[in-house]
Formats: sequence, C-alpha cells, structure tokens
Amino acid sequence: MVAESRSRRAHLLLAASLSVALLAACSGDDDSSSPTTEPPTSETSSTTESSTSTTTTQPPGTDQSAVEPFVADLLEQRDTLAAQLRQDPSSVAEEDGPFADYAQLFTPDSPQLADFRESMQGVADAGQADRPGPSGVLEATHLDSMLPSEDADVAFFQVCAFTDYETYDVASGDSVAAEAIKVISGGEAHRVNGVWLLHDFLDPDPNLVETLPSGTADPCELEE
Amino acid sequence: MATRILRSSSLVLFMAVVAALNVYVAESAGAAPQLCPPTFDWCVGDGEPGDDPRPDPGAGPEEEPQGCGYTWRTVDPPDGDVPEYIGDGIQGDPPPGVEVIWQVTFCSTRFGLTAMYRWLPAATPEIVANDLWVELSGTLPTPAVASDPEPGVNAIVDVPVFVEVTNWTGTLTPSRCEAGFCVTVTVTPSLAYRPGEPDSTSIACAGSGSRYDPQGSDIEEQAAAPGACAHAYRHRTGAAGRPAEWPAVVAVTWTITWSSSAGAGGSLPSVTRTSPVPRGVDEVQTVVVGGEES
Repeated sequence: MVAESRSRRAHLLLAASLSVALLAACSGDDDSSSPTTEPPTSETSSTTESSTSTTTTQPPGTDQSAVEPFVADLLEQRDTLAAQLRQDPSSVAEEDGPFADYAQLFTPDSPQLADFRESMQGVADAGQADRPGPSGVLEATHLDSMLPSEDADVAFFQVCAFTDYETYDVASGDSVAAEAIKVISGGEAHRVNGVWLLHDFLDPDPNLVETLPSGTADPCELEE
Repeated sequence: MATRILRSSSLVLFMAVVAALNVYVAESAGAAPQLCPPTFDWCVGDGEPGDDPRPDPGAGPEEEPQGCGYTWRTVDPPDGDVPEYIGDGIQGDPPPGVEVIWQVTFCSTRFGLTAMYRWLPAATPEIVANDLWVELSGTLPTPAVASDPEPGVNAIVDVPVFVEVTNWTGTLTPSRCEAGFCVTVTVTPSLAYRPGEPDSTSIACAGSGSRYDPQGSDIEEQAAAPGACAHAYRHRTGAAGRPAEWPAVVAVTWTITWSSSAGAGGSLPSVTRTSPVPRGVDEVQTVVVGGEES
C-alpha cells in the first residue's frame, strides 16, 4: 500500500515535471523578464518595414532539424529549473523565484503548469523536498528525435526522461522515499511570436513508465 | 492555439489514429528493409529510421500521420489493448517460444502524438550471429577477376589460362559483444574456376588464384602446380555448333561459422558470388619443316 502510494506519487511528480507549462502572466511584454531561450546556434533574422524594429523568427516546425536545437535547449533549461524547484519546492510560491523562469519556457496557454505548481506546493506543504539519488541525476530529459509536423508553428518531439531522487523530510532530514523512474513520452512545442516554447507533454502511458531502483544509472543515456 | 496533444480521454480518436497508422505501417513495411535471420523462419518487419508511414488514400485528413521519429526505445512488455491491437495489426505476435524485447517510438498526426510498438528478438548468441550474417552477407563482393591472357583476349588450345581474384577478402572474423557475451563469425573464402568448355570440371584454386609468371618455370609446370588456378582449353570456340566463347565462371564461396564466448556455436549459410569470365579459344596450326616447328 505504502509502496503503491509512493509509486503513484513518484509518477505524478515526474509526470508533472514532464508535463508542465504556464507562462507567467504578463511576462510576454516585459523585455527585462524575457525567457532565457536564446537560440543555441542559428537564427533567421528579418528586418521589418521600420528600420528601427527588428524581429527574430526561429525556424518553422516543418524543418525538424532546424528546430531541434531550440527544443533541446528548452528541455535542458527545463531540467535545470525543475531540479532546482524539486529541491526547494516552497520556492514555487515566490513571485520572482525559479518558477517564474521555469514558466517562461512554456507557452502562455500551456495546459499543465498548474499541475506542476500544485504538485510542488503539495510537497512543500508536507515539509518535504527531493534530492538527487545516488546517480546524481535528479532531472534528465533526453530529446530522442523531432517528429514530422505540417504546421510551421508546431513541433513534435520524443523524449526519454529520467529521475533518480530521494524524497526527504526537510525538518529531520529523514528519507521518505527513494527510487528512479524512466519515462518515454512525446511533447509539443509551439512557436509564439517567432520564438519556440514548450507547450505540452503527453500524459505518461503506464506502459512507458519504468520504476527502477534508486541509484540506477540513467538508462536513457545508456541506450543512446 | 489549441492543444494538440492526445489525451487519455480521446480513446476513440486514438483508436482511429492507430487504425490509420496500422495501414501505413503495413504498407511501408513492404518497402522497408526487413531483418530475416537466415536460420529462422520469420522476419522482423520493422520500419527503419527515416522511414515515414505513407498517407493512406482512404484516411480522413485528420487521421493522416505526419510521420514517426523512429528513435526506438526499449520498454517493458506492454499491457493493455493498444499494443495488442498494434501487435495484431502491424507486426503480428511474436513467434511462439521466441524471446523478444519490446520497443516504442512516437508518431505525429495532425491532432497529436501516439506511441507505436514493435518487438525484436532478444539478444542470444544465435540471434547475434544471425544479425552478423545479415550484415556481412550484404558486404561480400562480387569477384573482380584478372587473368592471363587478359579477359577478352582469346586463349589458345592447350595453352593454360590463369585466373585470379583481385578483391580477395581473405578470412574475416567480425565480432560483436552484447548482453554479456561475444559472438565471433569466421568467414572463410574459397575460389573455384569453371572453364565452361565441354567435359571440363570445376577447378579448386588455392587462395585468391594464380597468374602466369613469365620469369617462372614452364607455363605447363605453373599450371600443374598444386592449387594453381589454371586451365588449358581443349576445344576451340567458334567452330560449327560451338559458341564464340566458353562460358567460364569464377566463383567465390564464403563458408561461415560462428562461436560465442557463452559456449554456443555453429554454422551459417554459406554465401557465393560469381563473375563470368567468358573465353574465346583459338587453335594454332603448326607446320613441321625439316624436323623443327615453324
């Protein structure tokens, strides 16, 4: 019973951390808080009719190879921030905390950010937090491949995500649960105002969620 | 922008996608390379990376898959209706008694993503040996032949013709280690020269064959040496009822065996590649004058 509860919670946690999104309201027009989604390599720049205004448009979703580095960069940033939030879940309530940065990786209408925030808040309310398991990998989302898209503003992709974590009681430091989970899933990015943002992840298919002993090396990486 | 990700509540929609993908993969599987191990009576009908399922003319526009990533990830054996359905519809169930692993990849449609499963035979020494055979058999070359006289130049009755394979592979020993064991396949070539004239027999040549050495011993002696790849034609071509050239053939046969660090081993089907070396043959008349040939 306890094990089942832990497992379900772990699945929810990873699902939530995988299936996030909610662009911080009113962040879109604020240059000072613009997302840290600088394109990793190339961009296509075009100058508008006004000589003083330049817009940057990232490649279309129909060009899988061109979009791939942008999505990979978003996932890498997401991993970093998700790991940060899981280790300090109470920070989701901070207006200018890492959750704000996290949310800016996602589209304004991304459907699952609220779930993630709620999940983190629940962990915080329980006086708990996560820390990396023996493998040291708290969040690792591997971009397997981009998938074909016929929409210039939509990109699909496949990921293999892995977490090796220990949930502990913050006050006592006692371990509450420890396990590793591998999830294979799909995701979707949208190009908003010419910039790629994560939009959503598939609800994890139970067939594609594998619970592993804590300390397991990242199987996604080993398979590559 | 509307969310396009497929949700679990969209079961009916999902099944429509699967049905559509079913058709596409079945169609594309015919064009995609298949792994058909030589000592097994079944094939792995998988798509290859980069293969996109083709549109189904009968599918509605919303059901048309845009394609798959074909990054296959190994997963636990799936439960539930979806893999069972796909298993029945696309690849078929695994052969009875064959240990398999399951893999998944994702495909995009116009309204979301869906997972597609396949099975592959689990790695055993025999499976790995067969995989190596499949890879290797496609790389063994058709023999390139050099000869004396050169190809296209008529031979002379009773004067030996020598042949040699210039792209001789020698013995090959490819190996692969996985799942805790290593498999080594030993591929040993042998060369046969079939002159093609009536009553001639196949000549088993040593190594890659032989060429005439002008600095060496008498030509007949060279042709008679053990393992020499030579033949002296007895019949000229072009005479009444005879072809312009004898249909000579050079054949390289690779005998293939395998062994495993796990102790198992055996033989695999041999592979033969042939090259035609047709040969016209002239007859030289000699006239004896005063006791000497002229």
